[in-house]
Amino acid sequence: MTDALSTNYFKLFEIPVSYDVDLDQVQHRYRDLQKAVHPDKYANASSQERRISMQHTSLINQALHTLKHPVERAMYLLQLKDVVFTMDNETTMDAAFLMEQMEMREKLEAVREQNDPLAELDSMSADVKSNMNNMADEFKRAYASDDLDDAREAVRKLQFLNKAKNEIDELAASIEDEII
Amino acid sequence: MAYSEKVLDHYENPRNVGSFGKDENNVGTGMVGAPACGDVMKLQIKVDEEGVIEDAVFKTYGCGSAIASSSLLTEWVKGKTLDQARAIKNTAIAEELALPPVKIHCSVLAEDAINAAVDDYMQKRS
Repeated sequence: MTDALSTNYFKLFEIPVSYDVDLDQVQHRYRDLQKAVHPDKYANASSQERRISMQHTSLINQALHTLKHPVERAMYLLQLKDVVFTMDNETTMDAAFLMEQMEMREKLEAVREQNDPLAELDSMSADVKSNMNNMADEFKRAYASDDLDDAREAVRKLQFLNKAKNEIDELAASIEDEII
Repeated sequence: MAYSEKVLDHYENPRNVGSFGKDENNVGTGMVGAPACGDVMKLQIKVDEEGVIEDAVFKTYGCGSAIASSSLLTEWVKGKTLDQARAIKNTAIAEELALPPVKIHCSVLAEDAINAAVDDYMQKRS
């Protein structure tokens, strides 16, 4: 079990090292892992064993979060190939992509003036989701062929799109709240 | 977080918001985006025959510091040559606006944007 602390998240969850993950399988495996290291089991254990159990719990939680997250999973895959970076310092200069992002923001700002803002937001959310799928495909292609710069650029765009999707969905939720 | 007075001033009264036709021969366009915060910045310069920036506009989606950084930069580059514009450092912007450390990257975006705009113009001319 101690070995688990130095293994990678994919191996820990017994899934292939790939961007495509079966989220049900991940969730299932998470429950098993959690049971194995549950602090209750270590109530009478030495303080060292309890400390290790806590380290495992936090590792498992971190692994779950990373494997489920569309952007962090990609960043983690890059990390396994020694490409380590903080998103805070990243920038993208792809003018066509940024123009689209800007137009999307403009549309989002004016969405409340539409006849049916919720329908509009639904369709925007679906568009962004499909862009995210395309970007994930681009990431997988670049990652598989070791074009790590391209893979990194795809991660930047995935992050952009994921943030946009969250904003769209949050606005839709708050408009729904107002209607009720 | 508290914004400095200068940031608030640019945020509430942004200078030079607008767009030039990006296909025009005397216009350079720079776009840059920060994935972490989702900011998008577009900065455009209009250059005269002597290679002097006669006008500059911007459009930024982002936080107050990103808007203030690009607004300030459009003021600064007017009347400057392309080389002088390129020489403007993000630290000067951050200092002028008294940006806190977590917002320094907004001034970096502005520096990247003006460099990209100059590059775009040069490419059109070459």
